[in-house]
Amino acid sequence: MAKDYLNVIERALMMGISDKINTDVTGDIHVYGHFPSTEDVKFPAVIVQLVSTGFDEQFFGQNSTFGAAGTSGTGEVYGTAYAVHILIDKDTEITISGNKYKQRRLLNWMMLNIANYVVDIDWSVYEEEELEVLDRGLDSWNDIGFLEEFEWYGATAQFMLHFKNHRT
Amino acid sequence: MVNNVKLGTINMPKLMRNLSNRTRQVRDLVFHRDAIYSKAVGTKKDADGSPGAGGGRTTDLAGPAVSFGYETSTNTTQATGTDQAYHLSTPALHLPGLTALQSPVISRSGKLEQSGHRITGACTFYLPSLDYIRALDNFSETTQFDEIETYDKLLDIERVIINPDDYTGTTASKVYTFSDKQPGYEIDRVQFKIKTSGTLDYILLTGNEDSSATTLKWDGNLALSSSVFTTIDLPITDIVASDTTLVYKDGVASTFTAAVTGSFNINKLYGDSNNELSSLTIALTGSASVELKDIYLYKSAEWRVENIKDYRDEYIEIGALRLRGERTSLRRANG
Repeated sequence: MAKDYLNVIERALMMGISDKINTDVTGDIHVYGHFPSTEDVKFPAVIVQLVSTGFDEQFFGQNSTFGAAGTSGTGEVYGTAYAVHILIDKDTEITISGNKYKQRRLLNWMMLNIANYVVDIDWSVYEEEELEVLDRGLDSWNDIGFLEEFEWYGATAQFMLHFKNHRT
Repeated sequence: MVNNVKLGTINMPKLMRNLSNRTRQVRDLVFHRDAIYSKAVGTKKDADGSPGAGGGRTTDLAGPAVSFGYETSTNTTQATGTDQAYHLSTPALHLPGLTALQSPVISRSGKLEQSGHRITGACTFYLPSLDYIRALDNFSETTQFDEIETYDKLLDIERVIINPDDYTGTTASKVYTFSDKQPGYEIDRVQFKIKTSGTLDYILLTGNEDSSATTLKWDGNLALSSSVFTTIDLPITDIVASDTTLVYKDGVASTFTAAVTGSFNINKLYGDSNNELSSLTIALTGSASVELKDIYLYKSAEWRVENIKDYRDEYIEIGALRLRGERTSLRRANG
């Protein structure tokens, strides 16, 4: 049977972003695997949303080896795409390197640093089971703006990842 | 009986009492809210370089717990800790005794789906003010009920299929034997009001399915009141052994557990001599004086609260949808 890759990767991605970004700031940045309900939401919020996943490329003869032990089995390259959203309330304030960051200044800092974290993430620290992540990449941040109804600053980026979907 | 609550200029409770003598549109509902389970969160990382092995995830993540966005299957009270978020046990609420005036918009509307048929409907319920509801039995005694929320459910007795006689006497178990070839496939739930100095032990339904005996027993242990009627309302369809349901008395939930012999599929009891519902037994732990009334084996309608207009002291107007209705003829045909 194949491992529970999608849940393992999704959780690792969320924990990786949260761990890295909260190490660099004073104050809490909250990471969610869904759009939080009203009684749950705290700012700044980072929302990791799985938007698509599927088969990408088959290995010759479907044979694959996996992990440090080199286990033989069947497999293919599987792809996943996530939308990563940032939401910052107008009054939210976070201290970074001794400076107070708010609003668009905080949004700019978070966009660049989340991009850094997701490409630098060490999967072996956050995964619950062994993975072979083949490549990953964060596309450009889009929809950077201000929602006047809620008084939220926000941005969205697509994050792509390919892993070896191995099963024995 | 509710005391010391403003009844408003309309006096909705009195209005419904008077109306209930003239129309059956005044309904006796069961309020239902699903259980809330704790959230799955991550608080630890696996920093020992042995993913899936070694010491596992033991090192604290920086910052707050990561909320993965789905619930666990746990409903116990928990403090913040390793992969845990604060959670106060919040079991399902199942509170009978909510009276409402129903004004149907669409009682039943059918939609053919890929492999079946779905009955939907819409109606408006007029309820007494929230202050009045909060002062009712059970509603006032549990801290879980604050207000009616969207997605709460109101269970209605759509049609009474079997209505055994009331009973007053002293016994350890009251057995109601049904007439020969009694069909059961229309029945969703059983409800009765009971007043006794004893303790309710179990509720047993027996029948024959394909000539073999089959039973459903809701087993519990609930001390009841000898001065005030307690309403017991239990599900009958789609029950398997070890399923549980909650019965509320004085705002406190008591768990009843299902025991099944045969397969007990009430949909298959279509009403011939080999496939019939035979009896209902209401048993106490020992002989005691008991009063039973309003005993209904009924087809239920589940109305989901969609919108709420709150007229403060006067009344609440609720727009409700029925989404999970079945076509009874298909239920009988397909078992």
